[in-house]
Amino acid sequence: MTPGPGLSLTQAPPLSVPFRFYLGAPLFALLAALLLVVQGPDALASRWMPEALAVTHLFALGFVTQVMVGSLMQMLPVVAGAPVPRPQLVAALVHVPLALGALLLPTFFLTHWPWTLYAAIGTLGFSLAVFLFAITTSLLRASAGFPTVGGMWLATVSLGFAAGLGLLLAPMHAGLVSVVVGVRHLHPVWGLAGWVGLLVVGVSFQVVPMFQLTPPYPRVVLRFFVPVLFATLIVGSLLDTSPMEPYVWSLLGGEFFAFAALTTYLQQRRRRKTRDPSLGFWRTALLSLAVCSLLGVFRPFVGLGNTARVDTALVILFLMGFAGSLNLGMLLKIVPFLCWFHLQATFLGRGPVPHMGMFLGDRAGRRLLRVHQTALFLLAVSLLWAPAHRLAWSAVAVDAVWLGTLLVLATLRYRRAVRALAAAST
Amino acid sequence: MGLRRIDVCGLPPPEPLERVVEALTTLESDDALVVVIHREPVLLYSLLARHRFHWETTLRDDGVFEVRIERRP
Repeated sequence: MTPGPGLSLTQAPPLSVPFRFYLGAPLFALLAALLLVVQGPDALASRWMPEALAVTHLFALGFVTQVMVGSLMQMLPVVAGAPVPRPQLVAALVHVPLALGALLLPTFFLTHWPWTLYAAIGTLGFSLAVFLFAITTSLLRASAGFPTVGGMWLATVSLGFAAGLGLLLAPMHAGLVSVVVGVRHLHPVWGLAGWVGLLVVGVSFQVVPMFQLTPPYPRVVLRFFVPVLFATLIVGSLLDTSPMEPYVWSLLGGEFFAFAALTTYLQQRRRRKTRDPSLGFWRTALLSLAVCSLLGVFRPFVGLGNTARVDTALVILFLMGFAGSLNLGMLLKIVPFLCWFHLQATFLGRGPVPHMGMFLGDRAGRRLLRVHQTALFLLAVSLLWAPAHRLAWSAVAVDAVWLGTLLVLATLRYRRAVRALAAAST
Repeated sequence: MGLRRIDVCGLPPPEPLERVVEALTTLESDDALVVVIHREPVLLYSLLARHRFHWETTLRDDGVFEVRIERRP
């Protein structure tokens, strides 16, 4: 028996903790899309083009990582029983340099001004070090075990690897040392498949059955899947540049395909057949992951003529289709809930707190889903037919503006509700 | 003293919390509310502590949690 009150209020961090990450994130996606509209299709001829590197980091750090960090700080107390210590201070120390670094690094790729690279290393290094320290402190106290906390652990380690490889790449980009091919290949693998992939898989094992009322994942999957993914990443890294390496990445693609297929199968068997927009985002994300994974599986076997374009397609499908769609679907769920929850935390019993749908409703979510799916469809067309490039990235820009507008409106409605309830209860 | 009981087992988040909050707003000072739920409601505890409710949580043999909530005097 657990008597209360014995629980710290820090179990639920203040609203500003996740929202400071959420509100700025769409701006980075917008900047990335506008950059590609201006630069045209040649910018994506290879993922090592400066413009492609700039866009990838704007989206990966500015959008995906910001939303993931904000959500992780919010979710840790609930899914792992492990709140981040001093959440407001940690959020500020992580957010400000992360946002600055997510602007400085792309600026370096585009301008090659050395000071922007050094400033990016300083800001991103500081931000990620604080985040990794805070999350490790928190996970060490986690009351829950595998698979979710295990997934968070291995995702955190992967982020550390990706950041470390990024730091090794920096002097290569600055021209101080020659580029080591292995480091250049492994950095995106650990950043995308490790940090984003392992975190999504680990968290999905808990939140998919919980939120979508699906049957649970099979026990063997819960126990072994995340460690197997991590082990594949390690083996692929150790075999780097050997003839076996492409086949290990092919195996990794197969594992992610299995996750996408299994999750889709479980979602088909959910107990409640409502179709809320976040499920639509999930399905879009899993379809993108499945296509991306299959490309990864067959890449070494079919001698794909232009692998540079295949690699570009892999990154776009993973970042925009998989991670981007999941982030949008999660924001649609978490933002209205947090607005409602924090109003209840202050005003419970002192006045009528608006329903969650007042902050960000299903109708707005469905429209955002249509905009997002249209953008992704156009992106897929543009990968095969370059003249569609500017139209596709313009649609991504609209997607980002749409999301940003919904987030700002939700925040304004929250503030209005705070004022109204405060006035009513005095 | 009245005893109210709500069973929110199997409902997806955030419905359990919504239903409990609705019940709390009408809870009289000498009433008790028992919430039957399939996972430990961590966020609910945070609300209860903030609004000076007293609660006791019991984990039943079948893995279901029972949270007994009263207003603190």
